[in-house]
Amino acid sequence: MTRRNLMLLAVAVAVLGAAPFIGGNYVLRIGTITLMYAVVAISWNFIGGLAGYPSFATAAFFGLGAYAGAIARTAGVPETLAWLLAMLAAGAFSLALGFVILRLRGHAFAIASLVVIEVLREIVTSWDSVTGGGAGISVPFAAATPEAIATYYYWSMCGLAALAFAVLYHVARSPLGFGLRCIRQNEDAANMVGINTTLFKTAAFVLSGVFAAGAGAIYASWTSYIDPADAFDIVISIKAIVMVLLGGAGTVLGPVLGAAAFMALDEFAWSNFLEVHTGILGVLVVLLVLFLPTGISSFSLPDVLRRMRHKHGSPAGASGR
Amino acid sequence: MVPLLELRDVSCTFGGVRAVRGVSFRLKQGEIVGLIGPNGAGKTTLVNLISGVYAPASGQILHRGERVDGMKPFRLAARGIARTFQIVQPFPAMTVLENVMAASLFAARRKGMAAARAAAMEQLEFTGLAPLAHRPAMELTLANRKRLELAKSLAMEPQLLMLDEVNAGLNSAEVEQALELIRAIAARGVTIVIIEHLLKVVMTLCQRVVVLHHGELIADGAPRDVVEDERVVSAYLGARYAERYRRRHA
Amino acid sequence: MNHFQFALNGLFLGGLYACIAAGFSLVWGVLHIINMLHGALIVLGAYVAFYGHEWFGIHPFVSMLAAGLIVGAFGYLVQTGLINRVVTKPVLVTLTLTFGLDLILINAMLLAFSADFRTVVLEHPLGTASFGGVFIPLDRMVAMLLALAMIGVVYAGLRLSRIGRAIVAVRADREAASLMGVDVARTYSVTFAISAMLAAAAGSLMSVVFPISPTTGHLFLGKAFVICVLGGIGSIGGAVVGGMTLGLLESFGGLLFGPEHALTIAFVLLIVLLVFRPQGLMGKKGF
Repeated sequence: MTRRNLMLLAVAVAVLGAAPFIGGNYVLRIGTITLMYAVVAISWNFIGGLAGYPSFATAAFFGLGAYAGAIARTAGVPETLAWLLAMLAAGAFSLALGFVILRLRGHAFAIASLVVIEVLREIVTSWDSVTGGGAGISVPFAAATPEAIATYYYWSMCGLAALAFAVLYHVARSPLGFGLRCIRQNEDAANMVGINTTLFKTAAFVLSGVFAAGAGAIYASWTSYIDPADAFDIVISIKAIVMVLLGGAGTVLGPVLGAAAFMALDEFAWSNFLEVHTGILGVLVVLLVLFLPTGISSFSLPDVLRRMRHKHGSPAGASGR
Repeated sequence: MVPLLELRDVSCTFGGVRAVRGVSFRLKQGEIVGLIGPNGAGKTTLVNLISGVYAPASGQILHRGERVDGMKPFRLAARGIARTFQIVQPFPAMTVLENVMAASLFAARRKGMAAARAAAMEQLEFTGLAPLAHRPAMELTLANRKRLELAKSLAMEPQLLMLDEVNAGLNSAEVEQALELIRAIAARGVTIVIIEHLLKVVMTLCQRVVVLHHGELIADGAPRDVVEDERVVSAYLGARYAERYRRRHA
Repeated sequence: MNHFQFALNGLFLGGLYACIAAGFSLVWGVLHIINMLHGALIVLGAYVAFYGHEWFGIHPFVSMLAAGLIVGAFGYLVQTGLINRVVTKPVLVTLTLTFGLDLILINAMLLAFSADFRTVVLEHPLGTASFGGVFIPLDRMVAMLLALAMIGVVYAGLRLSRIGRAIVAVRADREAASLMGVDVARTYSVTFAISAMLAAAAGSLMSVVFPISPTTGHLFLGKAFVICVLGGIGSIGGAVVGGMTLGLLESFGGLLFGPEHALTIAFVLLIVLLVFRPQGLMGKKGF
């Protein structure tokens, strides 16, 4: 990690630690959402950033975790255990799903992973005896002051984020991370050089499933109510991708930086330009893709200026999809 | 002695065309074998079969007496079967060192990133790529890419190394250097199979030559015997070359 | 209702669906991008038809052409100005870009038209004919025929015109086409414009059948996905086959499982197809 990025990380940690003490419920709420998205972004980074597989299934895992956690809670399971069970359930699901769709590549994989969200949402909506159907499910919560509740869930999400970050850090420097990067560069060559690509891809996919589900489970407890449209929202997947691209795909710090930057902009747009806030998000995404393709963590002003001067990229020139 | 590699009646079909038909042969450890034949004869397909890229439609492939046909490439890599590609396939955005490290780490099973890195540097020294260790692989010239291929294959610490037209696109000075390298590799005890169109290379380097034509193995023996073989002459070498060879080695 | 009725309903729907997907498939096959903006373009076309009817009394079937031209021009500009800059990048990047554009367009439409569902109420609907126990909603039938006619015109244009052949060439091999003098960037822009035109035309036709709102864009996009995978990416004929198949599936699926499950069934089918037959029902070849 470069010095600049390390400093950014230190600042982030300081801010996170201080937030519950200096801010009110509003700050805690923003903080919790940001941390939630940081987890979701990190989870996508495993499969999309490191392995290079354009997965949209993030929202599917998130929703699965939310519902699994909610159902466990309504069955009386204590909270932290419910969250762990949700993560386990998502791990099993992503293992099975990976078996089916990880053999696809590129566009086909992207579509299949996208469609899983819809299928899960439909199943949840139909299976109303267990999930409450389209009406959603209420999650029991302990009686406490709003401040105590907000603080508790803030620290829970913070804990999950710290865990996810630690795992990402470890994986990135390990043979698994190295192998995933090789797969991203050239999957066939990776196979030839001794990498069990199926195993590695599956590991990345399961990691992405487990953490996204954890975020979903905590989210369900925190908001104490979820419904299918809320939990299985494709925008979650897109936001995860945009955040990681914003921060720098395949890097360790990228997802966190991207989540923080994105949320800051999103909150600003929402507070000040509510009616056009989606549009502003859209503009942000467009600008990001056009001018900041490698993300913040490898941001360099000269590069951006150079890119702006080249007004027409050459569709006829570069090869590769 | 169990042969290092044995093929028994191996066949492989692509969309109706039988690319390899009933090929059988044995490889002893330490041999340097040339694999020649006209374009489309099935040489690369054969290498693909042995390295696990394709599974044979029929027949068996044995490595030290154990069946390996149908195994995925990464398993064969771990067993010590390596090959280079005609069109070099590196990991483009990764450095030269990282490219070779992948092989040490995964195929050769070196323990830990540091050990893999050290082993990779050794191979880079051996192939003369050490000065370029930290350059992205996509920046290399063609000759250096071929060396990178070789370094990667060596870092796999193979028992069997199959070279697929390593000399294509190289000038004669570069070919000489490549030959030196290959001889040094053989001196380490690696068994080599080399697909080559430059007959000069094949004849001087190899103790044994195998000839493929339309997917069939039509000759297998010492270079001078293969060159005299009528079928080989009509299919590939041409009478003029055979005549010249006879006169030179009479 | 007998089975023939369901089949007919499915076919009428299928024609519209084919028009929805044809442009999407074309862009995917030629530009290799997944255009998340496509659903919004369909809705935009529907609004052009709606206001054309509301303000000027023009029948949506007629304003289909105007909608097509307006939105087609819009598409041309978007491709030239924005998408062409990154069109060679990996699918993730282009998808994210088009998604951003989608967000912008949907927000704009929400501001302009509000989220209320609108329906075109025709003063002189063609009504329903009856034939051997089967009811034939004539407006839907005409919509289907117009949709297929539109597709037919585009198909003919692609095969017979110079720009059409350029599109086919670029679809087959971008670099080779470029080496042969084809202006790839312009070809991309024209392709995208055609796609937008087909989308808007479909939207106009559908404004008679479905209520419209900026929020329905994603629904159409989802269907377009399924149709492409069913019919093969980049193939117009495939879009027709896929569209008809989806229409029939939804019609009969609704009969068997209830209409709310029809889309799920389609999606499960899609995953199965992707795994076992990624080239679709039609295979890869041809338009």
